[in-house]
Amino acid sequence: MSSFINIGKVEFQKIGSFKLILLIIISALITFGLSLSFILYKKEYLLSEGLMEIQSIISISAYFATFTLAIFSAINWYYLISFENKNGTWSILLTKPISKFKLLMTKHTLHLVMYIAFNILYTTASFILLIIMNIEFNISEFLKLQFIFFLVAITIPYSQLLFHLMVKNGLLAFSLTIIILFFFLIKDIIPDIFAMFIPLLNVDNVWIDIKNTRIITLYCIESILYGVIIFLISIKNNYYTYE
Amino acid sequence: MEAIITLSNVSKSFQLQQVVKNLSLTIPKGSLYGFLGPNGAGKTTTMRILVGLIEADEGEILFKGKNIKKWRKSLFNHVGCFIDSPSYYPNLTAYENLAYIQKITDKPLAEVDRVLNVTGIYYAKDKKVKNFSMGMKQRLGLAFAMLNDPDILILDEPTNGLDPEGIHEIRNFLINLCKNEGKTIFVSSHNLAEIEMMADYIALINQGKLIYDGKLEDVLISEEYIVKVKQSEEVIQMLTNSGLDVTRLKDNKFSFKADQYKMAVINKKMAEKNIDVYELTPRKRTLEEIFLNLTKTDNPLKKEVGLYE
Ligand SMILES: Nc1ncnc2c1ncn2[C@@H]1O[C@H](COP(=O)(O)OP(=O)(O)OP(=O)(O)O)[C@@H](O)[C@H]1O
Ligand SMILES: [Mg+2]
Repeated sequence: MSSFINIGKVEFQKIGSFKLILLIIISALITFGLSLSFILYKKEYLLSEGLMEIQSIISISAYFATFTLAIFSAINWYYLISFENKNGTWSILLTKPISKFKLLMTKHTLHLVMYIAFNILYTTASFILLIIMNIEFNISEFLKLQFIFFLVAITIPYSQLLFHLMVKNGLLAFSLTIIILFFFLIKDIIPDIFAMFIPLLNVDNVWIDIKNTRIITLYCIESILYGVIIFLISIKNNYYTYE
Repeated sequence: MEAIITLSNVSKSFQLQQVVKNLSLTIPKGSLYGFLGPNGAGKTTTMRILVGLIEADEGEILFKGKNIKKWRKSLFNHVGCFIDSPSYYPNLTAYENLAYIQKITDKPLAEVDRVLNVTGIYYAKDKKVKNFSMGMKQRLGLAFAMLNDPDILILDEPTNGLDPEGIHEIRNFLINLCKNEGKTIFVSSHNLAEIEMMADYIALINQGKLIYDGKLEDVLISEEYIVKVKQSEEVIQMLTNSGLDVTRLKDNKFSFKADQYKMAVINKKMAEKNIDVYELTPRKRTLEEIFLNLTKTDNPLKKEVGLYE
């Protein structure tokens, strides 16, 4: 276990810890900035429709968070997976006395740590947003909503990981994962009945039925399962590539 | 002879092309084994299969009698390899690159300085690898393989891109590792001259097929000699009389084909007749000639050393 934490630390240093911490902070700040500007811009509308309440505000900030998260995770996976493809370093890693499973577990754990860090900052940003907008809210409900986001949004990085596994050209994989963003933009033209079954869109779908606990639970379970399946694929995946 | 690596009937195809064809090799413990073949012969592919980076379609590979699939992880405590062009993290220094591997495999950091020293790039340990020259990168690749002092080294064209001095240095380094430290080294090259200077054993492959494997000295038996003597006419006469085909070259020089036993006889005769011999050199054969020779069906060596069809 100690060596496991150690490997994670070393991996973090290899990528550049300063760079990664900066990336998390910038992502959270951008989410905050976009949400705040949007809410101020639409203030009249939101007030007249009675939408100046916690669920609407959180769904707005979650909408922006999906975009920043997509870019943030794309960069993360690039450094964790595609960077090794680009440098051809799998050939070294796979011929040293360390198991592939352990190596990938470290990469996933590191990703999870970054994901949690992003979520903590994002939750803080949402909290500040609610305070600034003078909205009354119940702290436990607020945390519940943030936690739902935390669970369903995991489908974004894991959908992106698929690209990094399939496309061996690191920069191309990175670009494709950014294209994922368009799914969110064109979501409205996809009939809801289909959109419901695209795990990637869970983070968007979840706000429609936010009052229905059963459906929310299903979304959360589905998202986690989706993540686990892609995790398993990533363990099985053949990483060694060569020209 | 104790075998340390055995490949039995290994085959590998890419799409429609069969790149390795039913290849069987035995690498003796403590040998410096040269793996020769022209470009595209399948050397790199064989080495990738050997260390499990890619899987063979057929065949079995044993390291110290054990199947590599079953003890992959601990195998690399004993095997160091350098396959493909050198890979590294360009944004890290040479030291950081090697230290990273030591840290994730839970091995001592002191090894890093040692391998930097033995591969001759210690002076550049704090330089980012992206600024390395081709030769320095090549040495770093070797340093990766040398980490933790493995007893088997698998090296794919390790002298690629080195200058003559570097080639000489690496060659002596490998010879020393093998002869004085008892390591087994399996090294590929498309350059016979280079392998000739260090290997005990060689395997020759062409288009994925084994053409020859065995002791280097057996394949190098020279069959042609160049001689320069004072009394050239007399000697040429003597050689023609004993049925040899002599080719005149310039300045009292001539060449003829003979095996080493015949050569010994000729040498004695020349001594008896008090001939002044200025020069007597076996003509070195190139890899190409050896290939051609070995693939010739009526080649006597083929029977002698048990060549494969
Ligand atoms: N992934 C691949 N897909 C298709 N063909 C391949 C692949 N890898 C190698 N080959 C083919 O296999 C053959 C052998 O290649 P290999 O790299 O093993 O040769 P080599 O003996 O190492 O040559 P060189 O001396 O140039 O390094 C070549 O014809 C090559 O084109
Ligand atoms: Mg090669």
